[in-house]
Amino acid sequence: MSIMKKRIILFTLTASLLFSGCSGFLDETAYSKFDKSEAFKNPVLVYLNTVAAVYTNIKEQGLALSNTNNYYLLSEFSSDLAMMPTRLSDWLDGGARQALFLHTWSTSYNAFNSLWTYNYGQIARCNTAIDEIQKLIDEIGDPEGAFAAYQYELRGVRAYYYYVTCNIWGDVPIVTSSSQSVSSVSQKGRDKVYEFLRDELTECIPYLPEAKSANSGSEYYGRFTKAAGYFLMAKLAINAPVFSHKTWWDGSMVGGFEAVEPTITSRGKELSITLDGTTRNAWETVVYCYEQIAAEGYALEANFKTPFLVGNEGSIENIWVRPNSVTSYKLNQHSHWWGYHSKHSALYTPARLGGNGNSGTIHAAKIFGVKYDPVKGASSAGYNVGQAGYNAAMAAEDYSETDPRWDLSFFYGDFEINGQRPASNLAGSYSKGNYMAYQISIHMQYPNLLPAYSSDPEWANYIVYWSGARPKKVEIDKTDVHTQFAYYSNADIVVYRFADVMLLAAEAKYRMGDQAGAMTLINTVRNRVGAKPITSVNIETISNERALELMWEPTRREDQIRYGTYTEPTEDKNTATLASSISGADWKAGTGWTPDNDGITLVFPLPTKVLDLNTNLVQNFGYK
Amino acid sequence: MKRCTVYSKYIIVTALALLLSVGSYAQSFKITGTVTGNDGLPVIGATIFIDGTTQGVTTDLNGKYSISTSPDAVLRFEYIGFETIKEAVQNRNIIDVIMQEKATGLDEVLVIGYAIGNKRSVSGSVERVTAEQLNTGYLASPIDAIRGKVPGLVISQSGGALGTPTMRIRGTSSLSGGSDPLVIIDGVFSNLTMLYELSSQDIEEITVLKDASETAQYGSRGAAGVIVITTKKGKEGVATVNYYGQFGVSQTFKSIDMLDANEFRTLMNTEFSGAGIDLGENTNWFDWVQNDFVFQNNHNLSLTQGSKNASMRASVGINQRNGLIRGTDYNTYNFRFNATQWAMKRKLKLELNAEGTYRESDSKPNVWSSALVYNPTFPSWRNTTTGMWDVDPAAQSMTTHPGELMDTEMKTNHLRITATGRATYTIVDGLSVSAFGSFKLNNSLMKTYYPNNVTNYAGVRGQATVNNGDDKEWLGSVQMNYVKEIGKHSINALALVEAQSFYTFDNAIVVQGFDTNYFKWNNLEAGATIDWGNATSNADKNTILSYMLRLNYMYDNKYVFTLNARTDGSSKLGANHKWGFFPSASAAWVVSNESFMKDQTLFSTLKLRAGYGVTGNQSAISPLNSLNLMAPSGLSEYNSQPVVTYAIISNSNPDLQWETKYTFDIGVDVTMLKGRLRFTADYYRSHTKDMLYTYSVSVPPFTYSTLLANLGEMTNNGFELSISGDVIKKHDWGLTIQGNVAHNKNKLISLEGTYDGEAFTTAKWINVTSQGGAGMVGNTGVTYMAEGYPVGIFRLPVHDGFEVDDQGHLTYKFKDLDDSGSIDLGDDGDRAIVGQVVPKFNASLGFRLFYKKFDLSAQLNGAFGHYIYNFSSMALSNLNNFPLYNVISSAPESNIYDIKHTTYWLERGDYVHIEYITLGYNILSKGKGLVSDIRLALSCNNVATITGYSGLTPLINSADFTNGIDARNVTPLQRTFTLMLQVNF
Repeated sequence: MSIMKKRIILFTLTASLLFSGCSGFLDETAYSKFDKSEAFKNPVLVYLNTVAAVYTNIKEQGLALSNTNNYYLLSEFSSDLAMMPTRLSDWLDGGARQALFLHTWSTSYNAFNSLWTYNYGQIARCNTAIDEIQKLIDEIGDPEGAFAAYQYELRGVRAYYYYVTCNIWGDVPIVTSSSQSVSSVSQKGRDKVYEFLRDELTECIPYLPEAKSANSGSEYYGRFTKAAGYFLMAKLAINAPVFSHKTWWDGSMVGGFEAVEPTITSRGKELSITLDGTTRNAWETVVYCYEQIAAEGYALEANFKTPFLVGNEGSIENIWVRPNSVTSYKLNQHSHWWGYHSKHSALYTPARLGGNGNSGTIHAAKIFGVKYDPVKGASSAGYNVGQAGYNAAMAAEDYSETDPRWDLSFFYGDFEINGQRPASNLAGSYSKGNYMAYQISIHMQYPNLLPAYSSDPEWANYIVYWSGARPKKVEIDKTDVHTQFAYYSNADIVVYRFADVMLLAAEAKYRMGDQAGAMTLINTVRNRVGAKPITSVNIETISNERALELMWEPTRREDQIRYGTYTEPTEDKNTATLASSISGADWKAGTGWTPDNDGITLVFPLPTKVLDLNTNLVQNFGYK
Repeated sequence: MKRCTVYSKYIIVTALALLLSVGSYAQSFKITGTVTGNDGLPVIGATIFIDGTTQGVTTDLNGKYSISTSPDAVLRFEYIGFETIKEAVQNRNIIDVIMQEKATGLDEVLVIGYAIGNKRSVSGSVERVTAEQLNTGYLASPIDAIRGKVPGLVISQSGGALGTPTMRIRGTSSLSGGSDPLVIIDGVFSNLTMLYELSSQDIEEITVLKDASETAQYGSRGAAGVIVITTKKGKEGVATVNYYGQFGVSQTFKSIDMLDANEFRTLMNTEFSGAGIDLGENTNWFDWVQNDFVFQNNHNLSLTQGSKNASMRASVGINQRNGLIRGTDYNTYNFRFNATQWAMKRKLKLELNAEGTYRESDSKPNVWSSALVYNPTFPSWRNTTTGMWDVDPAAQSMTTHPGELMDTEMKTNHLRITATGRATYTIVDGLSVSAFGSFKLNNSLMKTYYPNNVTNYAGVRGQATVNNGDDKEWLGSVQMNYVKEIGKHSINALALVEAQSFYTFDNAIVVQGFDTNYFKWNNLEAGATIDWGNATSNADKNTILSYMLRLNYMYDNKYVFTLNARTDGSSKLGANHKWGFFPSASAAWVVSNESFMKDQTLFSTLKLRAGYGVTGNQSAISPLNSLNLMAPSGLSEYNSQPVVTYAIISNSNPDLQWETKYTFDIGVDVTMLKGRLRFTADYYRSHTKDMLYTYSVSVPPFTYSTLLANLGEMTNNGFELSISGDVIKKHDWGLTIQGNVAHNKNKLISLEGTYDGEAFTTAKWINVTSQGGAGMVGNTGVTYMAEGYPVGIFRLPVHDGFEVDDQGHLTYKFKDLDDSGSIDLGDDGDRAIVGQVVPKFNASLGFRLFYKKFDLSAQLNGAFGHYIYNFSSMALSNLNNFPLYNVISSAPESNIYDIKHTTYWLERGDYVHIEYITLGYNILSKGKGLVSDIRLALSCNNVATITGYSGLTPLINSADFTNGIDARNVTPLQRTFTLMLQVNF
């Protein structure tokens, strides 16, 4: 037994030596990832792994229509200018897009959650980067101030995401540290978020680089420069009367141009913003920011199309761009492909698929000056049936006095791609000659309108599938061959451009009583495209001018809210005269779907999932 | 059919015989004879003693013996596992005897994890399936061979698909992976794929460890049960060549009846007034994608031999199978070699083992749903003018053309080589130490090509993808065993130190821009573009260090105690949680050995067992998860140069720890009527704690919306019964029936908890599986999980008749369950729990009948108490999408113009499946000529399914709780006829 015991002891000892002896056996070895100590080894790595890491995560959200539900979608398709109509069962998808357009959205709409998660993810990445840089400053100092400059730049980018978040939801949490706990995250009032943004920009703008974001050869290509900072401040200032108003549901922000204009104008005069050492009211701040941007050399391009062309790098009109490329950045740009009928997109080389989705509204066509005779265009129940109705609708469209930007922003009627026109596959009928044409007559919900459509199958093909003017603004990249929809592009995505801030300055001047100054700016914008100059100005003129210039750019929702028209009915929605109208469709707490006379829908509801995961958060007023 | 199934048993017998034969001396009276068993087969190695002496001989391979003694002597026939027989010679020169198997094979050697024990000393729930007990019929793999054999082990597959089935032992005990049983092949940690690729002819026996009293031996990897495979080895005194071959042909026997082209046209031109496209052809896409017949063949050749100090076995196998979809197949080639040699006066035993598998498979993307719905008037050939398939562009966004899917090529090669060595040294009698080392190499290569002339890849001008994987695994262990009987005390103790190290590397490259389809993946330079992100690689290493002790103690053959204790350290876990401790204890009471049972004859054995233990699971944890590390996060530009940025790309959890499962098991083993009736019953409860689950977390403050954390709890409890009986047991005919039934009840106790001081909550109804379809995107949830319910429950809007419009079109109507006045079809809306995905009961019934040279066997498997969501019928009945998508032939009559999830399409999934019927004929048995045995058998697999389920087949892999939906993706079941030939030389 004693021998055995000895041997057992020997065994145990040997075994222990063999295995536990080699300390570190259970340490993890990382091969395809690395530790932070490696990531910040030299100044270039510090830049790449803090600042640039935030920029590479600027995805399509907020910038272009894509398959990720996003800011663009919420901003453009809840407005009066554009819709994603349901064509029979296409694009129905549970009615979410109808609800967005008709303002009957549900709190569980997944676009809300995906945008929230994305925005706060970017804010968290900014916070992490700012905190990591602070650690480096504390450890090794910052003699040249480069690290501090990175921090200001990151705060600028973070302000952009807070602006979007506040714009969509109003009362939102402000998180500025990477080490906060869930329980410490709670909402601030929209007015407080506005003040936070105002102070952040005031503090950071002086330290932002004076460089051009659009210049591809530059170190600052795609980055948040001083001009971008001024632009964001201009946006914040023009909307300051909206954002700083805590109780948006009090009825003071709805009711159309006349009802809202005085309130907004006077509030803007009362708000003071200190920037570059001087205190101004909101309207003065907008003009000041515009002037600062202009002083940096930004201007309108001679050609309206230039900012949106493939090869738009270096455009003097583009203030902030998100670099894009077919081979590397590969950001999705769905705005166009989703809008084209497959017979349209098949004309491109190589032939592509079309989604046959987003279209301009009849209201947009009217703003652009398309004369449309609703009586001629209408037949049974207000909609066209059969060839007679189709021909009548086409005949009802008169483009003789449209704004030149109509043709630059839309495919409509009879059009050509590569010198070809989409052929009709039913010879002669429902077409101009043997070709198909997009008629502008459109409705959000086709399937329920005409139960009798099955008696006329051509109705489906030529009225439903071919209705609506389609988007045309960003150049289609011929080299863009990826996937069936071919949605990558070498055209950089325009986040901010000069024409926008020019019109903001015009509005600010108008609100301060300088009508001549406002008209000068507006006419400069109009002159570029050869539109007739205006000779008088009111808030509706300004609203329409922004629609004409900024169609398919995600500004319409916030503009409409500022003008008091967001909850108003249009030719396309919420009007009793429409046979299909779901009578008065905006949300009112507790009473179901009635017109929103209070302003509850001026912000979107917090996503249900977000409320589930953080019980400190409270749903916006009026939503359950 | 060799009697000696376990080599060590054979060694004991032969050793004994050798000792005896030395002392034998010539006698005048010579006796010869044959010893056969009660099944008519020869007993090899039985010992024939001259009673009252130590002289004896052993039987040869044919059960024959020859002995010389006096004419009035008495012969004593002995063989382990059989009743001893005494025969007086009485001047006979020929004495043939039939030995009866002992009522219980209690002394049979049994592999219990790391330990070698016997049935007598088992106190846990351990099931053993030997080579003879494996299923007959066509066997694609050893997994098929044990289907239905072990109660509580569910093997489930989706229809007639190729590939590794899902296996669950006693239900699902984890939400985040790690529900597959651990597979150990000859001491090497393996997985289900490796088991699937083994040749079933190489299997000696399979032991299934079901509860923690023994799975605790595998500590952090034992939670989902353990399947221990012992392969066949060389045998002393044997020199045989065995050939086994199967040739099978299969055909589908049920398909979904869609509108044919003429019916399609008729409906299009009447109800739909000519809307839609008619290209004038008559194509049945479902038939078009299938092979008319599917062939399988399976060959295994093995050489087995052994002498006193050395033995070896070598085998090669080929398993070729065609898939049901044209152009798909699955071919496995394997070899296996093992050698054992004794040295140092039999104190040292050396074992070497090498095996390799090469698998080559061709597959296609899933074409079933496309083939079902595609327009049957479209031609089944490419348009000769355009060179493209005629594609309906409007249908393309939801369904790819079947021809375009069939033009996709996917090839997977997989090479696995394992080499092991073991040296066992006997220090003193009963005490031995052994060192074991293994190396495993897994190499996989996956190649895919999408041609440039299919719609989805015309834009990118074709795409070739090559994926390489290179996994290496080292294991080293030192084990000490002590086996001793001292009086009434019987001890079997084991101590183990084990270290394992895993290294994986994989890379993938995606190349596009091919102007010719000639090269496919064979010359990637033929493709013009590789974008950033299309060339990737990844490497990981992780290690596990373990210590284990096992003590098995038996007193007086009546009381058995087993203790296991294992501690595992894993590099994957954070510093505070590196080590986990997994103990277990079990006890058994052999009531039948008590003195008060002596006088009864009813029970041969009556044994009560109980055990409790802890096991773990770490498979959901990926290496480096506990560390905040940075990885490439995107491409940017710096000074006009492209640069890559790095970022932390997911939330990390430094507190990750082992998921642990606590299991209690109580059971009884009974044999009655001299062993002719056998019965086992078990009841168990298991409780998984610190369950790993990927939580949705609040952003902000988190950067990413998910976090893996250990918070949940889940229970499984159930019972298992198995019974088998030799109904008829005669010399030249017999009938054995065996059946088993298992019930498992799963319950998710909690998913909430506190992490880092924060309360984590989940949605009340967590969506497990969604199903979308054309015309349907929102409200796609079908199965859910929620606290207090089994994982995988159907929660659906409740059917309340149909809405009929003025044209007679039907749409679904739902019950307003919350009386809110409106119907909410969302996850939290008007939905009711209407059944579970995983069957509540699994049962099996097998027969084996032999009559002289013929034998007939059959098996029925069944599953009960679950539901299947017949999404196939639902989507294929929806006329809303007609004529864009084809519909089922009953659709025009049903007249449904709607697609929404509803209980209307939920069906009971209960079935009884006749797995196989095999008729065998032993043409030659124990022949003396050039060939010793020839056996021929004919078998039919998937004979029939008895079910109320109206879809293609209820066999849709319901063992996995994330399934449950028949979603137009089930490969039709095929009936296989197989001819089997076995020849031994």
